[in-house]
Amino acid sequence: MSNTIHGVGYPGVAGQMKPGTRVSRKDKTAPWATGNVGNRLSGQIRHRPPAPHPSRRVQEAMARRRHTAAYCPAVWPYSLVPLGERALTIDLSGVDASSARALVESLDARIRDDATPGVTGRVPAIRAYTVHYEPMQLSSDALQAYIASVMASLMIGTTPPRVPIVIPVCYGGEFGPDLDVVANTHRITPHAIVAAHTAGEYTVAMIGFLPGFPYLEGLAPALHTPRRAAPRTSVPAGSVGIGGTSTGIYPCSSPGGWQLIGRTPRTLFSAHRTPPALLAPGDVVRFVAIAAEEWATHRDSS
Amino acid sequence: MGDPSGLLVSIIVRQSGMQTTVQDLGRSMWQHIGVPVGGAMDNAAHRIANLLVGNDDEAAAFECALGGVALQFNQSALVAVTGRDISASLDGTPIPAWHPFAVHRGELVVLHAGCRTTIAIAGGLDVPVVLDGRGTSLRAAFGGWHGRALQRDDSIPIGLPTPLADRMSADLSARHRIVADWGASAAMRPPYASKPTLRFLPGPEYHLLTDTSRDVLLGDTFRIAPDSDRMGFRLTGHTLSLVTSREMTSCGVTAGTIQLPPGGAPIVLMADRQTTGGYPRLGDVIAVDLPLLAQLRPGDSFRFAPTSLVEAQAAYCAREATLRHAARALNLRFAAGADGSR
Repeated sequence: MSNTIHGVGYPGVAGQMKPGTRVSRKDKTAPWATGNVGNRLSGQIRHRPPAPHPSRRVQEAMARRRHTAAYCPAVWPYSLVPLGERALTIDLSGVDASSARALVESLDARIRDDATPGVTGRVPAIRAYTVHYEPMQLSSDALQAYIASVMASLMIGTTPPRVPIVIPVCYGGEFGPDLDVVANTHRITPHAIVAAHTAGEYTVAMIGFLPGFPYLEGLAPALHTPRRAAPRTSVPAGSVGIGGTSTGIYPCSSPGGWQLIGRTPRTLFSAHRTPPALLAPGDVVRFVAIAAEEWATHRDSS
Repeated sequence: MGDPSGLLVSIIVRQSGMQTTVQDLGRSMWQHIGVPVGGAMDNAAHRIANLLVGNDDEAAAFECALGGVALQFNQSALVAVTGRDISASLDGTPIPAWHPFAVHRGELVVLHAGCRTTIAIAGGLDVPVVLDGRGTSLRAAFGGWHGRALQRDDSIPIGLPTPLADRMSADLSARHRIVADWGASAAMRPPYASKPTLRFLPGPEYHLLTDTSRDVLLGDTFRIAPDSDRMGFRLTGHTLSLVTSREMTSCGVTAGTIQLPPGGAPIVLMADRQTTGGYPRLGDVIAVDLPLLAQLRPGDSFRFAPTSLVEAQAAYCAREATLRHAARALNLRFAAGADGSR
């Protein structure tokens, strides 16, 4: 996990198209230029990938190469699911978990940079990606053709290791009213919960639910705790919680059902700052325990 | 700003009603970091109100839930009120919705009753642009007027009216009229009804509904629950169930998405919806029918009817064409140099 991308120029496994090859959208002979017409009522548009899914042998070969080379395009299995008449979700549940995050990141970067007229919003998720669009500017056929062309040339590679973003947390007490509940659930001391939570390294899987709310992957199984039976009507901003297998931070005061184990003085989201969200998908996060007296010294200056 | 009279160019909130916020057409481009789109619940009423006072359709305006709103004008202005079942007055005299009217300095515009009413003012509400929008994001407390619903004695600044708005106002005063004898025709307004049928596109988990639940969804009426808000309308009347519980991961949702939480009571997501959701998705209410839903009050009922993507987009494009045509027609009627009296 320490190499950088060497993607461009790597001959694709499928062999027809080099990664990064950009085909003119006016090229009527391109396979994606003929748009798919969805099955109207089933709500699901099945998309046939341009090349067959790679065999196990090829997948293993690609996995070996991943340390030095970009992953091949043209083989990502996906389907398109209309989300009303002004949005489309690219369902990537067929992509293996180890590639999904890098794929979604790469897809998001591409769609952001292309800035196709008529694309009005983008929502990266864990194994799905939603594109919002304006039908008066971009027909759903044209959007599907565009997505097909993007999917056919997407590459992922090993990304350089990211420097963890350290989040200071006051655990327990009024800051983490559920710390004892979590400790009792696992029959260990609150101190051991804090030790386990601060020992972990977490990756931002996606941002959603609230502005800047990070869904963090990497919670130790020993800390997995069901949500509260009755959600709180108001969770304070900065609260660090555990919800099932995820841990996360509430950027603003909100109703919420996660078990609250602490609170951070950092500002996760501010509409008046650039960038507004402290964390982005793919970021690596570590927690460090601080004492209540240190709270003020860790606040964001603004 | 260019205020020739030297007076404060603003509106003072005398009564704020149940929930009055500053709204525009939302900030769609920040969804990737979890920012709700927001914007007017009934975006058709919002856009038409703006057209009637010479604004761009995305200008910021007031959105009032129910009634009990009183606004005092510190300057003369051209105003339009749109929505469903509106009762409004200007200094005590009833005024019609869907027609622009002239307000003079010191006069009081009162919204006695309504559902989800837009009050647009020529020049738009001049609140700061935050993340590419002027609308209020209540949950994250930013945008609009200090990120919150309006309170009594708030003083909201107004922008500079467009030349088109000035010509509309001049036309009214030249003909000694308060309320314009032109406005948005019934054909242009959303077809509001007390018990509308809302078309929806079946979603990915629609086929997992039990036969009974599908029959209920397609045939029975649902009511709006009292705990509905700008984020979502909770539905009562029936609970629905799926044949299998499905492991879901959160992914994008949109305004109109019909979610089915574990309790079985569906939720329709509205303007302030979160960007992602993890409940089964039964479908999406189509864009042109969302205004009909936005104008329902708690206790009101409606039906669902399935439709197709092709039909939904055709209906959407037809509405857009109507609005663009109306904007062009207004520009022609009040073209610079024309005398405005036809």
